[in-house]
Order: sequence, then structure tokens, then C-alpha cells
Amino acid sequence: MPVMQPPKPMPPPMPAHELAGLVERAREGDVAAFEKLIGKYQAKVYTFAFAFTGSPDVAQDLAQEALVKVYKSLGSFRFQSAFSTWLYSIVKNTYLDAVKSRAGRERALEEPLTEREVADLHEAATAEERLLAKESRHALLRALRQVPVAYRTVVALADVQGLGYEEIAGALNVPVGTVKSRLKRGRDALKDALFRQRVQEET
Amino acid sequence: MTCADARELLTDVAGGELDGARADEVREHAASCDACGRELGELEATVGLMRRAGTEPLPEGFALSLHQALVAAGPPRRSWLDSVRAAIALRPVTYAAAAAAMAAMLATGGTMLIVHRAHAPAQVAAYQVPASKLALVKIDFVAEKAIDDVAFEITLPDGLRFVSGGEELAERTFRFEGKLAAGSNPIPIAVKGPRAGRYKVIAHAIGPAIDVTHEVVLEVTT
Repeated sequence: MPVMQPPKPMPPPMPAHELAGLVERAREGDVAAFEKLIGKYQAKVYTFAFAFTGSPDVAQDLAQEALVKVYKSLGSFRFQSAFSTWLYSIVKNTYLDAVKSRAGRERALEEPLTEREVADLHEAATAEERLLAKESRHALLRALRQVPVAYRTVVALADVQGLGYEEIAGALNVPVGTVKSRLKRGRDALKDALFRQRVQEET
Repeated sequence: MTCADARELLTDVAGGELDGARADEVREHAASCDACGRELGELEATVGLMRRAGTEPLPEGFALSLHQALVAAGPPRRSWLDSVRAAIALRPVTYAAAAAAMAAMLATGGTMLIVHRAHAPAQVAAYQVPASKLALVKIDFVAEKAIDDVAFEITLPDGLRFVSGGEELAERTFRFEGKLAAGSNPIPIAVKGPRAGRYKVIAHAIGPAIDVTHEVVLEVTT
């Protein structure tokens, strides 16, 4: 049985006064201040976009579109939730809008994993390495795309981004109970996507 | 523990969200049940893989491309709360700007304009607005002469939300400091109520030379 890996540690939050100062400057149009504000989230937002699109090029466009929306919307950040929660709520909306408007392209990209990719992932699941190799990560994120979008969002936020129930509930504006049930269904669906092939071979 | 009980909790055990005696029960069951044991193993492998996925490295040129997009996008939009704060602080210079912003909201939102005059004795004015519409409530403090050092506080009841930039805000109370000009001092606020009912919006203007409370009742209809 594979050994459970602990969740990735989250970087320490930015001190409140530093956050407030950067937000204030960014609101006045200071792009450098905004870039510092989102510095530690850029790669996470891009990975989140990759999990949604499965394509590096589309993910880059989508992540940039989302971050520009975060910048333009800074006036509505009221410091009443964590900045990360507020940021993810905008990023999530951008991605969901893209999924709707790019539904045809989305479906075209939904290719099942090859037998080789599935075998590699099964092997990776029991490997000792802390982080997955690039190929396995890409295959895993492609598998995630076979999960319905509402569940995929929660799985990506919980298990890839490392957010807690409360943060996800805040970002998605849904009750914590809904987060829990979507996480369960999402993990079940992803598990099926990863292990279905093996089950089919055995039956 | 039955298989059905265990299946409900397997994902919580696999993800580490459930621990303690209840998790031990699930694991004991999984150890003695091939089907649930396999399910738990697969779920643990799935969660483990996701948590080890790590962060995708940013593509080359991402930062430069984003920088160009941010510059091209222009500065962030000001929220109406900021606009009101600025209008109050700088009155009467920006009064026209605030009025223009309000007119724009009226034009785009199908909103309802509600005026409540502060010089009237404390009275309750009631207005109706459909639940699907954004209501633009204009609370007008009318002063006989200019008054400095005024603290404003606008409070919404449960069931009404401030709306800014198209998004409903979590906060129920909006406080800001400013001054009143002689004459009309309209403060526009955008609110929305998703459920039918009667709601009371309370606005205070407090300072050394003023202490006024006004109420506006919004009746949200289906």
C-alpha cells in the first residue's frame, strides 16, 4: 500500500502591513507592487490552469487572463478574507468561464491516458521521490481533466494547491459541506480515471 | 462496520481529513475486506499522487508577458466604495464625478433610484425592488451649512448585501469619514437582496456638530 505523503507546507503568509501596502500601491496602478503581491501565487495559478486545460499554451493564456482580472478587481478586495482566498475566487471564475466558452476545445483535449502513462503513474504512486517527474505530473493533470469541472476545481484546490476546507469554501462561495462532498466525488472520479484501465484489464 | 459505512469515509481516511478511532475502524474494516481495502489503497495512491504533483514551472517568458498584459490593462477599477469615500473627502470638487458614476450604474443595471432626505424628521421611507435587480439607494444628508469632521456609517440588515464591481461583499457595515457641504449630500450605495422581505438600511452621520440617523426600508419582491 502506498505511503501517504503529508500535504505540501504552505509558505508563510505575508505580514498584514506589507500586504496592505502592496495592495494600496497596486490599486493606484503600480504594476511592480502587484507583481510582488502575486509573486508566490504565479506558479500555483499556472498549475491550477494546467489542471483545467491540460495544455501548456492554453494554461499560460488562461493564467495570465486570470491574473489580469485579479489586478483589475483589486478595488473590491476588502481585507475581510485572506488574500489567497479572494485571489482564487477570481481565478476560479475565470477558469469556469473559459471552460464554458471553450467547451468544444475542452472536449477535444479530453484524451484518455495511454496504458504506458497509467503504468508509469501506478509505479510513481509507490516511488520514494517526494515530487513526481514532469511526465507523470502532466499525465496526472490530464487525468484530472476527465473529472467533472465542479469536482475538479475542489480536488485541484485541496490536493494540488493545498488549501483547507474553509479557504476553498470561501473561494468558491459554497458551504464547507459542499466542499467535502465535491472533494469526495472528485477523488473518486480521479481514482476511477487512474485505475479504471487496470480494473478493465483484470475483469 | 459495514462496507456501505466504510465507503462513505474512505476518501476522508485517504486524505487524512479523518483520524482517530473512527479512522481506525475504517482501516480495520478495509484490512478484512478485499473490495474496501483495494478502494482505500487506490484512493490513497490518488491523493498521494496529487499532493506530490508539485507546482508546474512557469513557462519561459511568462513574467514578461504578464507584465506587458498588466501594463496594457491599465490601473485597477475603483470600487464604488472608494469613489464615495473620495467624493465625500474632496467635496465639492468631485461631486460631479460621483454623480456621473451613479448615472452610469443606473444606465447599466436597471436600478431603482431611491432618495431619502436627511432634513426630514426621523421617518421611515419604504420602497420596493425586485430580488433580481440591483437597487441603488441614494441616502441624502441635507445640511444647512458646511460641517467638517463627520463620520458616516451605513449598516445593512441580514439579507441585504453591498455590491461593488459586480460582486456581493461580505461586509455589512461601511464606515468612512468626510465632511458635509451646505445643501444636498447624496451618498449612493448599491445593494442586493436575494430573498423577498422588508429590510431596513440604517445610515448615521455623527460628529461634533451633527448626530443624525436615517432609515430606509427596502421591500424586496419576488
